[in-house]
Amino acid sequence: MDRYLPIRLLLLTLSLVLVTACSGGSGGGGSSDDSGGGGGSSESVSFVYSGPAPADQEVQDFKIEFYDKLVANDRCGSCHSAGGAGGLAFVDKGDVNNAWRQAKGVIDENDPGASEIVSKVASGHQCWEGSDAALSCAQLLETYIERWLAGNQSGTTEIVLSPRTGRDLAPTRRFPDSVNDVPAFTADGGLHDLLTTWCADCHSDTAAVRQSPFFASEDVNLAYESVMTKIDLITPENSRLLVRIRDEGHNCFGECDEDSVTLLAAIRDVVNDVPVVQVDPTLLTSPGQILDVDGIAVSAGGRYEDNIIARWEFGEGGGNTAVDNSGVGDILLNVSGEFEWLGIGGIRFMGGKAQATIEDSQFIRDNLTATGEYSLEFWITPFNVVQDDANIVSYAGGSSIRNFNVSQSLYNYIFYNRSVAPGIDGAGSPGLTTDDADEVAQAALQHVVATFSPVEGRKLYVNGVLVTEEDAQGGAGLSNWNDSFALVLGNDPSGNNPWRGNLRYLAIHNRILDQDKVTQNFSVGIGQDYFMLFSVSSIIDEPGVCHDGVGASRVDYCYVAFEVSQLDSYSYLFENPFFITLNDEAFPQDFSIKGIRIGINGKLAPVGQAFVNVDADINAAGYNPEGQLLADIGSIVSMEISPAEDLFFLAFEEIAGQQGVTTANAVYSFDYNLGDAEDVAIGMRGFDEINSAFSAVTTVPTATVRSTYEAVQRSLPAVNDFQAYFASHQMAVTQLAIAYCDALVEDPVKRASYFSDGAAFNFSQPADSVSDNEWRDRVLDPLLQQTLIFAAGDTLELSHTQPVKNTAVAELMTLITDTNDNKPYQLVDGDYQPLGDNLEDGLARCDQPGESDTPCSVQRTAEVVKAVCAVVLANAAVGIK
Amino acid sequence: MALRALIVGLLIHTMVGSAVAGVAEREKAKRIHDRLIGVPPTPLMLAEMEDEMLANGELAAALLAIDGNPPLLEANPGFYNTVLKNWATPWTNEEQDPFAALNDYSALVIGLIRDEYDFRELLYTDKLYVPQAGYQAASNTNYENLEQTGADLSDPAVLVESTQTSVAAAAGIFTTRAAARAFFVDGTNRAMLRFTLMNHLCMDLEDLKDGSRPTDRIRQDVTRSPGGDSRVFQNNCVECHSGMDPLAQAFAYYEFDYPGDDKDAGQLLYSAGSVQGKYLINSNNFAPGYVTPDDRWTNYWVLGSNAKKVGWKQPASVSAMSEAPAGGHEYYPQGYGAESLGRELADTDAYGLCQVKKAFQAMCLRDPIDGQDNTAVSDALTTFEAAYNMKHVFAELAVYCSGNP
Repeated sequence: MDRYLPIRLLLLTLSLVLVTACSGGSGGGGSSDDSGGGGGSSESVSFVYSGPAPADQEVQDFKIEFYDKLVANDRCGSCHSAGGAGGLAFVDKGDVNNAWRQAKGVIDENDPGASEIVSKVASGHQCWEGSDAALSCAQLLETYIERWLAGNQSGTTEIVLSPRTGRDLAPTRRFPDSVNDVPAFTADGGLHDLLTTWCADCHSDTAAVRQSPFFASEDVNLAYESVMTKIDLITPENSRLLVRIRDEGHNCFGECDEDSVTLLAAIRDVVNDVPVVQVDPTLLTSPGQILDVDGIAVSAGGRYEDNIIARWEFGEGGGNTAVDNSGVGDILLNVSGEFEWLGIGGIRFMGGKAQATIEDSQFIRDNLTATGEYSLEFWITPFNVVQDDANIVSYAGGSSIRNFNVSQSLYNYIFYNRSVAPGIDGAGSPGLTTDDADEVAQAALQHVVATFSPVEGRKLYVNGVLVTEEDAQGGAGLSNWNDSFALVLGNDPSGNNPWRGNLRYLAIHNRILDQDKVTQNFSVGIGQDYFMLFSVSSIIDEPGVCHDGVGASRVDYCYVAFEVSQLDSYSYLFENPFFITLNDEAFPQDFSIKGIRIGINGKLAPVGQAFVNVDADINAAGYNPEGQLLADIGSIVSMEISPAEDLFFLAFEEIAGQQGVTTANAVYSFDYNLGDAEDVAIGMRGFDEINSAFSAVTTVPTATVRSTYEAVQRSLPAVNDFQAYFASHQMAVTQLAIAYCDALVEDPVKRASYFSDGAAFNFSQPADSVSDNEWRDRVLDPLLQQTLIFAAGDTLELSHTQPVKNTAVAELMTLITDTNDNKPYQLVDGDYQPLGDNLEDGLARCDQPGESDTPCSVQRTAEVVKAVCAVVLANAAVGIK
Repeated sequence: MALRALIVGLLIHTMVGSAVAGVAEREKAKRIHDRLIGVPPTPLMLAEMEDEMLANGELAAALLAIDGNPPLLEANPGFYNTVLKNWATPWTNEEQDPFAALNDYSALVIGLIRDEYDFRELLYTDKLYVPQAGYQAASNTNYENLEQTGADLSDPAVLVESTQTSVAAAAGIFTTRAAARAFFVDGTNRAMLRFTLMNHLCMDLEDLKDGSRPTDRIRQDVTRSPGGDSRVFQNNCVECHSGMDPLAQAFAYYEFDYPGDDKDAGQLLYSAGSVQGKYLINSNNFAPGYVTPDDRWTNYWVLGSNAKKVGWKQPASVSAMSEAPAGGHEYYPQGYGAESLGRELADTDAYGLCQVKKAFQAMCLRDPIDGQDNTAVSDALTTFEAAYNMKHVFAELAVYCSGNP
């Protein structure tokens, strides 16, 4: 067989690349913006090139995107032209073709950020923005290189997949299965002691209010199992256990700083006890790959940037300035307050802001008022959806005066624009807002575009979709824009409206982006995408098909590849795995791939194994030049060190008949623990039970008093807990009791049969004429039989759970017939003392001078019965169960 | 209890009355009745319970309190009207409001216990208990009327056993109108799974977190970088969603549809073969996430730390699936739709233990205490698993917490 050139072109249509949405990293390649439009660097236009014409399109691209930006004397031109002091003539003023050749020697075409020229400027070499803005200059240079290399890309990108050299998987620390093999964890004063001392109120399976993970469980095995994923064995300082205390102040034991030191020491002890071991030999693994080194960068291109006047991609990674890399304007943002740079490009605002000077900002005003229309385009991740009136992008003078502003209010984005339209004030209010019900704003990465045109007014697009109704204020001129305002990101100029979240990209266009262009730019996405190729050539092991050569000249052709990118500062996104062979001339025999797991730094990633269910038959019929897709989903894997150091590998359950051991066996052993509740013997009846009990005792159907019950229902006890029974409950119980007793007494038939000892109680006689026996036998006894539960003639009493009958009768008789004069009572020195009112106290003692109901009315008799009935019902004898 | 036994009981009571039954039995009978029925016993019922206790034991006395022996001895219907209704009502709404009205969910609980059906059916049966006035697919009015009129729910002619016919793919409480109103309304249908776990396995998602499960079935609406920090997802979100999302997929064809803002006038919809839009919302929160194609559920929690917490009884190989779907070669239990998921969840140790613990709480007015109540709980669990008869579990626990004679 002829020696195979181990390079194949993989033609990917834009749609494939767009799935993962990469922008060419911090460069956003494929721009076709007009450098000369709407402004430009005064330095770069001061020199007019008059040398030989560019030899080809690439040199032409180089000239426009790189050379023209740097050739001025106040940038690189004074030293790096032919014969200059800098030696290397990458901006040769006399010959752009020579400059191109020279420049090629100091750039990295695969990774522009790693170019020698970028590194040199980043280290402090001759930054034209000032000695303290080296990172900004480096960022600019990287952008120029990317744009030069990208050229004017169309919608199709060619990506070259070439064979990779596998890396050996290094030994690593891996938690042993048994806690007994990590004695530091359970040592006196060790991590388990620390956790059970300080965290067990929540993070224990036996806590009153359990919060997982249960690393503070008394069950040391459970605690060990739970803590494993919270300790970073590679970088103990990044352990989740520590991050929560140190960085987030989560329930520190005492002082967070001191606790962090204590905790880290205990974590280190554990880490040191965890042995360094070889990669699990039972795994069926691929060789290793490192993203930054071995990944094949994808330059998506295709972003529509024709009318950009300013753009920030925040690739500085440090310092206090963010540079406009549009190549059009030159607006430097000063970043202040609470913020941090994102490793993937971007700023995380936590109360701080990035602000341009008023003078620089005038460039925006001039350009946007000149066209009378504009678009603000940004990629953001709101920190949450509870922040309100939080300014993301403003061109403002204060909280209530501005030219434009896009802010977040809970789940909404709101777009304010000052114009001469009727009804629009100096704050650009009323704002155009997204619909509450749509919950458009999410705490996820989102592409937001705000457009204003003099015809249609304002529009908001989120993730490519128009999310606002027609602008009621409509379009108008921008002639009332104020030129003394400043562009501010993450806040307003006064700092009163902070927005918390990640801002990864901002572009200002001096034209509106229509739906197609919004969709186009959303599809391009944000961030650098790579292909990572993991060789399976040794597993399939078909010489001449999956690999050729031996030793240093060996070339592998068969790979399982992933699209990989950095999702944020803390994780990698792996998606759309596919099988591909780089051998055009021979295809391996049909085989299957089952169960893919991602490994990192010598062990399987503990979280994020989304490809375990891959189950694919690989054959020529299912294969096309782009490979054979194995799964159309993605998953994330936590970063452990950095993209330049984390060593990934794949482990397979099965490939081509070879098996790897990756499945844990289920062990059925149900176990449970009862809690530690308070032992109680009695409780209160709940609301429905009280209602039913009153009905049972009085024989009045519940439906009869339904209206009263519904009125007091939620004031009755909802739980049986005796300790949760309050005076308010008693008041509701009393109200309900009165309703039942009223219904009973007011029903002539029912009361005649109920209040009877064989002979019915006579409700027609005056209350004070009723004999004690009649009260006792015909009123009290029927009530007490149903509540103290005794039948006529019973001698047994429920003295343990109910009041003694005779005592109850005596109390109630006193209530009815008492001839003493004690009421009312008054409070004297904390005691109630009888005051008296010259009237006998008994309810039935109505026939006396001064009594309001004298002589006793017929109604009084019924009222006394109702009162006594209510006392019996609204009593612990009924209420307790 | 057989009629003969009651007659004997009445005779004993008539002949010897309380001369045989002492205060201790009376106190115990009173407590059993209080707890089981929710209201004080009548003097006659108390006396009969005492006698039954002496003649046939405490459990028999408890069962007598529940159902009496009509027509000779009528029981107060409080066990059904009050105790069981209050027991079940908090499960039927998201706020866990015990004051909520009787509905088809709580009625199903009451009916299955009243008629002594296998209580696991609660999660998969096509039975329904309907008011005499009939079932309304878009209203709870007839159930509310039952409650407001104090209708006797122990009467099979009042709360009538029927079949769920208003929606296809009936599956126990999942397809009751009340559950749909509470847990299928708006949202993403995950609530139905979460509240079922809370109410019937006595475990919230907090108890079931396991980040080691496969993440391939987590939907697109779950951002992997909340607020721009994927550590939050990797340490929190994933621990629930990895197992929850593939289980909640069983409800992919259900929706609670309501006119305008009037949720109380809504009804359950089932779209056979067509995934509801709520499963596909916010797709750009994580575009490479899982796109739900059907109602195939998968139980990832059968492996990992949740295996011992739940005690899955249906081994994967003989799980609810009649035919294994493509993929899933790790032999996780799988099935299509809510009914088979109901069987998977109900046939677990945790389901039985949960019913026992809830009944214990209702009868003893407290949670069981480790070291003190283990035998009682274990015995009740044995009773449950013998015939899945919750009425007997209630009776047994009422006896346990009625004090010492």
